[in-house]
Amino acid sequence: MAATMAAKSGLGTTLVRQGYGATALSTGAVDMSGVAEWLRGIVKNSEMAHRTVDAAVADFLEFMAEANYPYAGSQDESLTLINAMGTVKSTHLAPETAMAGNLESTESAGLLFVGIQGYSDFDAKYLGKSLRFLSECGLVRSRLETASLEIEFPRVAHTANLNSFELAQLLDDGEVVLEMIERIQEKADLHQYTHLALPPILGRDNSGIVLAILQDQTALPCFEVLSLPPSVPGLRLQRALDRAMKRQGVRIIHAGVKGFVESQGCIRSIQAVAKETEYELEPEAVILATGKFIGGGIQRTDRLREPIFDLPVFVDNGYTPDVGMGALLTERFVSEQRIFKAGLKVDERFHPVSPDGQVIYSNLMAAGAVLAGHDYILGPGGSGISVVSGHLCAQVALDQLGSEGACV
Amino acid sequence: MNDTEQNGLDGFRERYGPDNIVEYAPQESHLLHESEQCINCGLCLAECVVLRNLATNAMYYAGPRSIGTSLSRSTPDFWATSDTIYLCTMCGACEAVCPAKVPIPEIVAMIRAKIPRQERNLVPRAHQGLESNLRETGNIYGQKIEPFPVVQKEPEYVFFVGCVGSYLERESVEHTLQLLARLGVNFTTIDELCCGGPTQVAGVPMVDSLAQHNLTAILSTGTSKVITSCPRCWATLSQHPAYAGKLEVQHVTQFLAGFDWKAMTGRVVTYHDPCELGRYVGEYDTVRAILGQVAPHFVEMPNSREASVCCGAGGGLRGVQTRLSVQIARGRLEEAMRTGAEILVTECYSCLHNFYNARRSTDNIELYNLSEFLNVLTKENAMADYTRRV
Repeated sequence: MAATMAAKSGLGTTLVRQGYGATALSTGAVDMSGVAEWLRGIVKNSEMAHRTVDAAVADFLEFMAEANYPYAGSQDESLTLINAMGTVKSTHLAPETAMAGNLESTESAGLLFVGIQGYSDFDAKYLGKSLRFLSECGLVRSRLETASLEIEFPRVAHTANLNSFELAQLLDDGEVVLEMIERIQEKADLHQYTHLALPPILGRDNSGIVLAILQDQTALPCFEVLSLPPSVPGLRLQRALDRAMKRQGVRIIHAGVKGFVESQGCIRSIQAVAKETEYELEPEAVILATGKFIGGGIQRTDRLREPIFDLPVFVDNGYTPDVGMGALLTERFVSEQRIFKAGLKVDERFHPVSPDGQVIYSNLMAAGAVLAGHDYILGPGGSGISVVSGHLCAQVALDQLGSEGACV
Repeated sequence: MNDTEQNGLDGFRERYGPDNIVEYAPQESHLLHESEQCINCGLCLAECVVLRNLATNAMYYAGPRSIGTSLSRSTPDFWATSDTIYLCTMCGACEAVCPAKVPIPEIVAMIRAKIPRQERNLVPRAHQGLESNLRETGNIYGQKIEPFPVVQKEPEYVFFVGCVGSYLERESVEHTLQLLARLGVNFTTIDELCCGGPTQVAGVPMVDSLAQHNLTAILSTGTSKVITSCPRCWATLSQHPAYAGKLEVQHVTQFLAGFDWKAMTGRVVTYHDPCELGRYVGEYDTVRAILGQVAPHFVEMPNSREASVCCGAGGGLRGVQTRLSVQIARGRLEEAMRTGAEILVTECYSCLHNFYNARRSTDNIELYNLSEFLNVLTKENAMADYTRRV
C-alpha cells in the first residue's frame, strides 16, 4: 500500500522484497475496527486520523478495482462474514466474492454449504451445524437455516489431499465451474435456499468470472467463506497489490536487504542481493514495511530484533530489550500474547524512535505489522493498520521530499 | 577403542553404512538447517507448476511444502521420497514466494544425491544412465555428437554449445554461430564434452574428467573467455569448483547486450524467462533491454520475471515424465499465445526444445532463442553495422 501510494503521488518508487509475507496467507478481509483510534493515538490529531482513514480506504478500494480484484465495504459499517472454522468474523472490507455472505445484510437466510470430497479445509457439514448453532444462540444477527452437501470435484483424479490452489486454478476454466454447478444441482434443489456458501476457492485468477457464472447459473447469491491459510483469497490480494504497484510504476526488486549506509542521521544507501545480482539503491526516503514474524520484520533470536536497521523493538510502548520470552507469552492459547504486540515505536510522522523518543533516521518511516502496539489477531485493525499506515507514510515521504528535504 | 578411533572414517562408514547413516558436507548440513525454517504455510503450493498440472492426473505429487516440512527431515528415509523428489523441476518458483526462503531446489538436489547411496534402484532410469553416458561418451545422451566446425586459431572467445544444443537444437546453434560471425566476433568452438552441470540435477557425482577436458580445450585456444547459450553450462563453467574460477564466462544474452540494436520487427514478441537464468541468478533485464530495441511490440506474459513459469524441462523431468513435462510446456505456450504474441523468444536450448515438443501444427507462434532470432532479423534487414559498445 505504501509503495503504490508513493508511486501514485508521483514519487519514483522501488519495492525491495524477498518472498511473500503474511498478506498472502491472510483471509483477504481488511479490518478497520479501532484503526482510527489507534492512529489518533500516534498522530495526536483526531481530525487528521479520520481524514487519513477515509482517504486510505478510498485509495485501497480504487487500487483493488483497477487491479481487477474489486473489494467492497467501508470503514464505517462492519461486515459479518463466515469463516472456514465455522464461526463468524467481524470485518470491514472484503473481496466481492465474499460479500453475499455478509450476515449483516440479511434478517434470515437459508444457507447451503457445498463441500468437496478430499478437500479437508472446508467441512460443509460442520459449518452448517455450527452456523445454525450460532444463529439459535443469538450470536449472529441473522436467523439462519442451514444444510450441507459434498460433491466430487470435476476433473480431479484424486479424492484425497486436494489443496485450495489446485481447485481454484481448475475453476479458472468456466467449463469446470459449469460442471461443478451441475454436480451441486444433481444433489440439491437449489430453490430451497437463499444463498450458496462455498469454499474459498472461487478461481485463482478469474474469481470475478467464476462468481458471475455461479450466480447466473444458480440464480442465488453465492459467496466463498473466509479462508484458513494457505488462502486463495490471500494470494489473490497479494497478486492484486502487485498489479496495483506495477500499474503505478513501482519497480519491484526481488532481493534481500544485506546492508545500508547511514550518515548524519540519514539512510544514504541500501544494499540488496538476489542470488548473483547485487543492487545498490540510494533512496531519499525509506519506508520499512517488513511485517512481523512471518514477514521477517521482527525476528526472535535471544531477543526480539529488527534485522535490517537494528532498530529497537518495543512491546506495546515499553522498551524491553532484556525481557524473556516467557514474559511475553501466556499459557492459554486464546489469551492475549504480548509478543504479537512487539514492533517499532514511531513518532507522529511514523519515524521509528529510540527508547528516549528520538527519531533514529530522519528519512526512515515504518508501516504495517512491523509497528508496535497492535495485535494482528486481537486487534485493533489487522490489515487495516497496514492500509492506513502505508498510506500515511507515503504522504509523509511526499511532504518531506517536497518541502523539507529530510536528508540533503 | 571405538570403530572410528580404530579404523578412522572408513571404518565408521563400513559399520554404519548399512543403516543408511550418511555423512553430510558442511553445506548440506546448512541446507538441512534452512529446510527447518519452513513454517508450513503452503504458499509454495500455489506456485508449483508440477502440482498445478497433476490435479487432473492420477500421479501423486506431495509438492514443495512436503519437501520442506517432512521429506527433508529424516536422512535414513530419503529413499522413500523418490516418488516426489524426481518430479520436481527445480524451477525455484516455490522459493521465490517462500516467506522463510527455504531453498527447495538445493534441498532436492541434495536428497537426489543421497538416494543412490541408499536405494540405487529407485533412481529413475533416465538418471541412472547419466553417469555412464558421461563417462563413456562425454555427453548426457550417450551418443556421438558432431562438433560444430568453427575453428579460429587465436580467438578472443570460445563459444561453448552444451549437450542439448549440440544434440537437439543444432539449427538454433548454427544461427547463433552465424550471428556471432556476422557481428565480427573473433570466436571458436572447441571439441567440448558435457560441462558436468546435469550431474547436479540428477544427483550423480561430478565427472572430473569432463571439466579437465573442457578446461584444457578452452585454455589451449589462448583465451579464458567463454560465451554460452545454455544457462546451466553458464552456471557450471563459472561457478562449479571443478572449473575453479579459471574461466571468464558470459551468457550469450549478456554478450549481445553489448551491441547497439535497432527496431527490426513489427511483430508481437514475448519472452520466456528460463528458470536458471532468471530465478537462479536474477538475470531478467538484459534480454528485455535487447528486445525493447529490436521489437517495439514486445509484450510480457502475465507470469514473467520472478513469477515466470517453468517450461517443464527443468530438473530432469523431461527424461523422467515426458508427458507431464510436455503438458507443462503446453500450458506455458498457451499463456504466450494468449498475449497475442506471434513469436516466443527464450535463451535456453532446453526450454526451446520443450516448447517445440509442445507446439501443435495449428499454433500460430514461432519459437526462437534470442540469438537465433537476432540472426534471422539481421538477415532479413540486411544488417548494417552493429557496433559493439565499449
